[in-house]
Amino acid sequence: MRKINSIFIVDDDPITVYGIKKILKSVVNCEEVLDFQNGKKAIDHLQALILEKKEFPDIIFLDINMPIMDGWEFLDEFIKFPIAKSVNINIVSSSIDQNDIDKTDSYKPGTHHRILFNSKPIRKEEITEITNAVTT
Amino acid sequence: MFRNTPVIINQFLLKQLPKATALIDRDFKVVFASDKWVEEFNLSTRDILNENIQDLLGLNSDQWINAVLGCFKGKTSDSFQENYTTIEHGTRWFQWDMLPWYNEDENIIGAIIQAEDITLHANNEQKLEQLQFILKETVEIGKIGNWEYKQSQDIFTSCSMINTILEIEENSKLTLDEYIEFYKIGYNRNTLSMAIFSAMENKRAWNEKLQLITAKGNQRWVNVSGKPLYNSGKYVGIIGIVQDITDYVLKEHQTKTSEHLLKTLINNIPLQIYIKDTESKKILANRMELDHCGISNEIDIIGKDDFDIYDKELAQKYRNEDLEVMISQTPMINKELRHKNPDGSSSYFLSSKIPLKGTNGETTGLVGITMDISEIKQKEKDLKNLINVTSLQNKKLLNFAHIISHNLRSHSANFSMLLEFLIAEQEEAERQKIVGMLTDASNNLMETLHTLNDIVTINSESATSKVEVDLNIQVNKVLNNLNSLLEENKATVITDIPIGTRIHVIPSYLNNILTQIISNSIRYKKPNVNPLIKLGLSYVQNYTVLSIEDNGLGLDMKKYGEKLFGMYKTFHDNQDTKGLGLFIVKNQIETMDGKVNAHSQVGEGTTLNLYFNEEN
Repeated sequence: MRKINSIFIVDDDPITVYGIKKILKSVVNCEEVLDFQNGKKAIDHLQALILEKKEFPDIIFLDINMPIMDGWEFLDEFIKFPIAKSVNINIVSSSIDQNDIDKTDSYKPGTHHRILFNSKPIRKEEITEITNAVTT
Repeated sequence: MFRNTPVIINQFLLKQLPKATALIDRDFKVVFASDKWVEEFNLSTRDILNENIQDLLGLNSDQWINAVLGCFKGKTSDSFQENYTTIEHGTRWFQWDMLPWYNEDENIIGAIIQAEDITLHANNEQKLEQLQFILKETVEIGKIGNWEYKQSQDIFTSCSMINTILEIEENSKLTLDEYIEFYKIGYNRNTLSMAIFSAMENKRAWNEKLQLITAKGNQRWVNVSGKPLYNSGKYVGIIGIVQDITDYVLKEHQTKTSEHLLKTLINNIPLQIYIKDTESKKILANRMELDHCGISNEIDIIGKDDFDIYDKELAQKYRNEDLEVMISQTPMINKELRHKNPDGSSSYFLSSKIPLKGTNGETTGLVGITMDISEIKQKEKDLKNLINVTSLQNKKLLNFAHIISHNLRSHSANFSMLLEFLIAEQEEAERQKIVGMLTDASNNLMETLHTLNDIVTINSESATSKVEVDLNIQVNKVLNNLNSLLEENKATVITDIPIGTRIHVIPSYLNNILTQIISNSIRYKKPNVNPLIKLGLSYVQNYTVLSIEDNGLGLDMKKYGEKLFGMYKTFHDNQDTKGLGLFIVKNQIETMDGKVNAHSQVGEGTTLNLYFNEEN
């Protein structure tokens, strides 16, 4: 089984978090899977990682609609981090709005991170593909 | 008559001849001249004998010389008239008579020349000629005829112009009665008959404007005047003058009709119209313009400028416009103006100014046309408001639809995922966990549907179900309900709403709004500070504004201002919040035609302003 160091799940819906974790467990050997209830909590944690000079996660699953700091705001902050590593960011939203897909695309030229839009429910095949894309 | 008379013997006789007479020899030299001659030609100071007559008189007309030469050949010239100019007397007219002068031997030895000053006669004749010409022309141009009635012989005579006016044959004769019968029966004929009668009986003159019908049946307007005639103080008849003034009367009629039409038009057109001279003083103003200026009589506005009517600043603005239009001679078309009315409202106008040019192209003033478009403006404003409201509603609806689909989708996605897990799961404990989650998801979905239903209900409620309530009573009701929450948190509420303040609301909405905002103030209080909530009242335009201020955590408005009243938006780390409270508040106040806004600063507190619409 493929091995991945660290995965973040940023979502306020416990069922989605449970689902992603459950699928991950079956497709990848991951040392650390952390979940955050909103963007702010995730950003705070990432900032701490920078200070401690620790490595960023390989994959982030990101919800759009969250209290306090939503997915877009999280992305705005995230792409400002001065890190060389390319993180695989997967937006997981129940939205099928073209505006949200376009908005996702608008982030791509401005960053070296890989950003992908996925609709809920996220399936095992998609997660397998995502994890396969990570080269460790 | 001198033919056989010795010259010398008759000298004395000749000298006294009453007519200016001179005798010349064949060399044109004066042999003799009568005293009258000397006097007539003003030669008393000179020795005239043996002088050339032409030199003496300064005469050199061909007719005169030929006449003299004719005499030398024995021809008696016809008398002729010639003007003669001297410095002393100016131009005079003379009648010349010339005869050959024979000696005893019947030989022509010279000529006898007689001159008679006919200047006065000539002038009179000329004057008469002039007068006749003037009369003839006046009669023709002015279409003036005259008639005369000799009472004793009962004779009526008239000039040809009368016949022309009456359209009868040039040489036909009329009697006075026949003449009178040309006048229109009724007022016209009676007036003339009475005037003639009055002239005969009371020796009175008259002057009337009457209508007659010509022999050819045409109607004519005439000015008739007349007066009794006297001969040595004795009444002998009547003289009358008739002038055809048909063209003039018809033109006057036309002018009057046009003027009347124009006046009616100008005074009834729903536009303000005025004319200003180059000094911007009004020389004409129609009814609407007078009404606008608050002046009842046109006379009171003539000669006045805008400085007499408006305040100085506005008047100067108008004067500058006038000057621009008059100097450039370019019209100013449909410029939009705003007038502040004394009651604070505004009127809107479209003002046009068109330069007036004289015959030489110089500016003589301007015509102003102003249209009151306040009503149109108001409608435009209403329409814009309506569009704003509609587009806002539309946006709200779209947002709402978006939220619904998003929510339902996220629930269905969870169901789908959990069911897939359940099917694949072998472990009983895990299966139980998934079933528990499915139950939670189902409950969540039910709750979401209830919330959505509530919101739809709020939005479909109409503002017409508003009733008048006493605000203080409603506030106290809410505070009583929240009493335990307030006490628990050691909160102080200060209400500063004037007693008797009444507003129009849907009471249950007001109750929810107040409950929601005050509970929020408690929920988001600063951890170690007792909550202080102040309720105050103010008035803005048509709104009664209730402000609720707290000393809580506050919020970064730059970051969250737009989302504060959004659905499912939460801004604090608080598990109890669902992000619906202020969304419902906003929907409820908007349903009551009001609005809500917020001011907040992190660490300072939040103020919510509720605008209750008191207009509708």
